[in-house]
Amino acid sequence: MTAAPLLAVEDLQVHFRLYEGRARVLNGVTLAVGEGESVALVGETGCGKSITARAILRLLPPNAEVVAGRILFRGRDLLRLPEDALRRVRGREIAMIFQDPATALNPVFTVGEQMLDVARWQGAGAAMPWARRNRDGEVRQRCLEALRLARVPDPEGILRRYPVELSGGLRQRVLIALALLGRPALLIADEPGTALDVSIQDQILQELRDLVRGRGLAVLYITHNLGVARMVADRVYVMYAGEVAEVGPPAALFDRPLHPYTQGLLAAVPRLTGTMGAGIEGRIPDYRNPPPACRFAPRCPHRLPVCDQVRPPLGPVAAGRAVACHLYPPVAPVPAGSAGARHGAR
Amino acid sequence: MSFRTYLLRRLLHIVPVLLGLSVLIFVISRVIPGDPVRLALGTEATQEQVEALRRQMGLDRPLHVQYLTYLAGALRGDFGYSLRTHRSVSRDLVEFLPATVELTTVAMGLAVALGVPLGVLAAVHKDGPADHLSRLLALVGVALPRFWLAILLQLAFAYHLRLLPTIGRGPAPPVRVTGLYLVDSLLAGDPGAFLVALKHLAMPAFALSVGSLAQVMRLIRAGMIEEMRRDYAVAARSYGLPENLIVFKYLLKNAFTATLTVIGLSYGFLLGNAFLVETVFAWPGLAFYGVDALLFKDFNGVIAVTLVVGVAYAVVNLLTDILYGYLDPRIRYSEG
Amino acid sequence: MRAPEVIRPAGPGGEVAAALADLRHTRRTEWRRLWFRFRQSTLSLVGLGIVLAVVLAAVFAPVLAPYPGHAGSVVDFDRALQPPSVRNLLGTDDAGRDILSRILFGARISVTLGVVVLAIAVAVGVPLGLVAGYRGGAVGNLIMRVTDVFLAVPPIALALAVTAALRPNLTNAMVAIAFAWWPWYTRLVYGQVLSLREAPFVEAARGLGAGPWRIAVREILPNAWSPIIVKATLDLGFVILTASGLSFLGLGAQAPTPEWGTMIAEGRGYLPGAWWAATFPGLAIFLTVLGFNLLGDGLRDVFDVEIEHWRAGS
Repeated sequence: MTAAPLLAVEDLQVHFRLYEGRARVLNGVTLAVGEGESVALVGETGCGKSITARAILRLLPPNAEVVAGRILFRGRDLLRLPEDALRRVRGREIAMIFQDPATALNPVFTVGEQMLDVARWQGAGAAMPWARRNRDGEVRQRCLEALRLARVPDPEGILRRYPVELSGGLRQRVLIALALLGRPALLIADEPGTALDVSIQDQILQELRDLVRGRGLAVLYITHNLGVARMVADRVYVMYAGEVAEVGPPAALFDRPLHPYTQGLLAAVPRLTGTMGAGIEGRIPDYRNPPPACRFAPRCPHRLPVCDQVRPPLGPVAAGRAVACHLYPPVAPVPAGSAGARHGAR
Repeated sequence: MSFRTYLLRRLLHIVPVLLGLSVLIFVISRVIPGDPVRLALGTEATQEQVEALRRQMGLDRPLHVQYLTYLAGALRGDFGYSLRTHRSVSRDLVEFLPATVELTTVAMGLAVALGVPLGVLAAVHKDGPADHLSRLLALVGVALPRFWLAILLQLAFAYHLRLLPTIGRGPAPPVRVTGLYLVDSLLAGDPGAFLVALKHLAMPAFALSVGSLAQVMRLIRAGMIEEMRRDYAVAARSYGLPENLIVFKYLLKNAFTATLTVIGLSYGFLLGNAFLVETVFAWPGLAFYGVDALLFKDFNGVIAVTLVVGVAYAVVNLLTDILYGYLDPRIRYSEG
Repeated sequence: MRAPEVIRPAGPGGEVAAALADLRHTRRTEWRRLWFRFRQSTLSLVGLGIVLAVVLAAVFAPVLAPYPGHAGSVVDFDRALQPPSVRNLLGTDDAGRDILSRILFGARISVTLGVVVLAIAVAVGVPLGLVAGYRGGAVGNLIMRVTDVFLAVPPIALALAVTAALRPNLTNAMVAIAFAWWPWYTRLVYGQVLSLREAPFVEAARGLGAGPWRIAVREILPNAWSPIIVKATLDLGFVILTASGLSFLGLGAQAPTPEWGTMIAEGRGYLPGAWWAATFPGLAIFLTVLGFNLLGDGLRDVFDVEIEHWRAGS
């Protein structure tokens, strides 16, 4: 990949101010998504993948602090944008599909009210109720079109309904439609469908994948499910404890995992026949007092002394693959602009 | 259970409660040590006159008979005869009720109209100076004795600044349709009368509203803070919606709905305090009438006032329940 | 926090004694932890301070008051309605009595009143709520219906109505207010019991064969205490407020009792000239209620955290 990526997160560090201290959650996350590319960010609960996703659109809670790093989108650093410019990016250039359709829709307003308002007012500085009458017809058409794209049956009827009246699958589709309203170039899908039945989740994921491919949208999938990553992504980032452990195309990554954590993850998947799968010893670190160098070292079966002293940089090991582990010294000089090119050394 | 059923059940629940209340009050009032009849007639009255009046008022019958007679009458709108004002209590009610309705409604309206924006402001600027100030005001508002505040207001605005009238409701507007001076003066097309009525209403309504205002402000603040943390708030922001729309339309509705039940309860305390505020301002309302009835031991008056207060309280709570159901569709659509 | 190692005394009773010692230690650390949390909030400490000041004023009024005799019906018309001065820090009233002294004695009345009324309300309301909640059935229903009837009118109104039946004096005002206040505790405890009834430790106790009374008193009640304490603290302020309102109207404490509400009523006639007679007693009421509110809020914050810990199963 030689063109500049659509989205480039560089060495993102995010701390949380807690009552009991400071949690250094994101410790230099680096990833990139190219135009039209589908990228998955995979990791277990608590590894910081959702935080990374939210940081992109600056949706972090008030006690979160971006300590360092840049988030470049089409060349602009989103972290430095003024409020009104950021609002124009949200929804219209980057849009997020939320994880839990039960809570991401306001229960006391109809779907229509919420969608129409988004279509009408997204990006505006302030909503002025009297200025809306004239464009209502066009706005409504856009909403219906978005609902159709998301394969929502009877879009007209859905607009009149309250979220509580819809099934989980329908609500998820509404969320997808909401994300598509602004015609963004990049979608961030936060654990899409995890709150739903597996069969429905599957269907929605496939439709989403086809939709995205059809319209050339870039997507960043956040998921803890390796199967989902394999199904939808062109490239997978494996995340552990606030850092990127490994990057690569899904097939190669899953067939030949390099980072001990990825290996552990794959070994932990129960097979239909045979073993239940083995777990990984230990727990994710306490972010208030994380390991000084490699954050996986305490649990790593291949731990070396250097792992407790020097943090392993994310270095390329083959075409399109990179690992942050002392077991793999970098193979060749890094071509500029490729995935995982940045060294995360501190 | 559908919403309609829920409402019906609530309505049906009120009836036995009010009946029970009437029994309670009736029993209490008949347990009076001392003889109110003699009190009314004065010390010079002869024994025969006292007995005659007692018989006329039915006070010589057994208690349960008295109650049933009273109940039958009350349901027809006849609340008996007042030994103090020397006319039927129902007439008194009709005369004095509108003033209290006007006062309490305006007070509650003030509490909501001021409390909601202040609460939102405090939540949005959490931990800022505006927030701390509003929390201080909330604490003060709840602790202030309403009658003391009323007196202080009188001192300041009536005596010293001479901006507002000291006591009373002022002259009645030219037409009497509802008995509410504000409404009637508008109906008569008389802005001058409206202004006069407003000036008289200002201090009593404000003094009365302070406690509820503080409560509303606190609740809205707490509600909004919680709302701002919700997923749908983050989602709305992620779509690029402007902040004022998110806060004042989407979040406020949820926060306000949650406050409704407490507003209903708060109205009860407002009603209770009306007895004190009306006394301070000599506001010719039901509560003022009630206090006189109490001091005079005019039990028909006392019972009637208590029942009206009970009904008013129940009605307001029912209205807030209806409003809640209307605003929050989850109530309507939940399976029983 | 782990209990320190306890030397286990030898012998059969030793295990139990050791366990009890452990328990006692844990309970003490619980209290210390509560106090530590409470200390975090300035406002709560202010509330505690005010309440302590009021209680001290009540207890030591005869000693603290510059003119202890003025609490009664002493008359000194030469010094009537004097503005605040060095001699009378808060001025004098229409009978020449020192307002400061009367306010201090008024604290005594208010505190006593608050405690007595709440004691009655809790003593009546809590057991009824326990029975209604745990027993349920027809009895429970009846109790809650009666409670609903009492709650159908605002407490001030009900208290006023009751005073109509009685002679106006302080004791009867207390009775009237207690009469109006108990149902709130019944309702509170009822709700608590309903939610605690299915808790695992109750099931365990039932499984061990404990009878309903034992469960209600030994298992449920200790866990329901905190909202009761919080509410009682807040109510102390509101009861005093209500009582002073009743006295103000002439239906409570009568002259010459130095009840704050009565004092305001007396002083009201001399407005706007002698403003101090009506203003300072009101200030006393306000500060007292504020103190109890702050204290109650502080307690609520502290207990809420504890409830969270309990629920989370720590």
